[in-house]
Amino acid sequence: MIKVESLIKSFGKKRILDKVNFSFEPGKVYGIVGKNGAGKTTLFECLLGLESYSGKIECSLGSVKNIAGYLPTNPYFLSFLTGKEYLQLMCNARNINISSFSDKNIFNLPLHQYAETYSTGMKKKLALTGILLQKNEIFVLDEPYNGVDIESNILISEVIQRLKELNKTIILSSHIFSTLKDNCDILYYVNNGNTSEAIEKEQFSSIETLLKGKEISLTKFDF
Amino acid sequence: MHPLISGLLISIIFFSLSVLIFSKIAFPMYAYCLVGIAFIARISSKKRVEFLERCFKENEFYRIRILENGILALPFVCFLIYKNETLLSIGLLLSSFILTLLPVRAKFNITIPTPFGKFPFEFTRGFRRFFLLHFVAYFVTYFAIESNNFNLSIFILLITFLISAVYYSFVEPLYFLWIYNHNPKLFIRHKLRTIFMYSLVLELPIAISLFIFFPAQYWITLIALLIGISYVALFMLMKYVSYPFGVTFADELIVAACVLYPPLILVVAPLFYYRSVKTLSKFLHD
Repeated sequence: MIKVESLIKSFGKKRILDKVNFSFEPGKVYGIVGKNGAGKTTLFECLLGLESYSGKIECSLGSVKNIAGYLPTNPYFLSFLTGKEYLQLMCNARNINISSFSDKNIFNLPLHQYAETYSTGMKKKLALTGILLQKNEIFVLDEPYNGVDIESNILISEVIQRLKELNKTIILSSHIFSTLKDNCDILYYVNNGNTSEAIEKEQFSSIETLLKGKEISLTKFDF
Repeated sequence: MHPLISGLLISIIFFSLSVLIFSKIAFPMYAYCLVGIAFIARISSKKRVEFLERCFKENEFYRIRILENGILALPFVCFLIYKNETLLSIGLLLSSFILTLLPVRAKFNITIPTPFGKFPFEFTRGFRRFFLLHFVAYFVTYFAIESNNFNLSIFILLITFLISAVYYSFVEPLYFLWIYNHNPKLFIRHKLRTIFMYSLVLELPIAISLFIFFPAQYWITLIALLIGISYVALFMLMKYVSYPFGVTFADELIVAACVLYPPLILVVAPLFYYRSVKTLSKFLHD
């Protein structure tokens, strides 16, 4: 179980997260929702130790970073490394031996090609495969459905459900509310540096209304 | 790496290789021109040229491309003039300008095979970027052995180690360090083991040739191998001393001193090891 207490994160004078509290349990899928710039990615990076913060993050399984896989919104790939070599690098980082990556290639990626030449969706799928092979306990997926085709979207949802069955903790963000509605057990709404209480499935529609916000109409003078 | 240091290193390597080509190859001026043109063509990568094409108007684009290729051709042109090959130098310069007119559409998306797939990172990427330099080194070693020049062979051996050391000048994004569940000491040990194995793989053709053709000087070859591996290890440690920021000028000067006077490595390596463990402990832990 992960417990986040009074987490504060500022960039200069701007406070992005202001004493936020969360708790994440194994075997559940958590969705972090909020508008652009609400601080979702910053929250993920604090949770994973990629950003400094003040406050307390406790994990019953030890250091979060050593058991977590992170899928960033735009995964970065090193030039001159093939898809297979990227996966090998990810496995080496966790002392995992895999004899054949072709058996683990769930998205049918061209693993012999340089990962840098992959399309946006392929990059995302490769990055996801990498963290799946690491046998992590916690999965933090920042916009996993962005830029991915419909077939793969379905597969990603299946992967998330399978991870849930395996008692892993899954935390994800998405701007496609339907994907959150279908996959998540609990939602947290991040707004102005604060977060809501845990919102159960029955109340998801209230979050959808909040996210829609005020209706904005364009006039011919807007451009 | 600091621009001054890298500029100096590149100039030394360029001049040394140019001299070697002219001293060891038949009709060197033509081979030299070919190398120059291949180099300029290689730099004109599709992505970059397309980016420039999108950003600038046609006239400005061609002006930039001509300027770029001209600057790249300049060292080759100067060396040809120095060798009294004025006509060829003009030909090379004109060829570099003509290259700007050719559409760089063809994309050679060929994956260059490497023997470094088990622990892919610096060596895999570095080899793919600089494999031509390694082949040139093997080629020059062949001529050095043929002309019974042991000193030149040892020099080439050390130069190739320095090429491998340059692989470690790239400071990886934090994500690629964060993924490791090792503590700093284990992480550095893992890097050192990779350096030891993979440096030897690259140097093996040269080292074995030296052991065979200059058996009496085997101990000098052994010492050169040891110094060469230390160079690569030192560059790796230098990267993590100030991670995630770039390498400082002071550290570069220290490493440059070690390259010129290898006994210094005995003092500097433990110091860099201690400093890099301390820096990495901010990001890596059990």
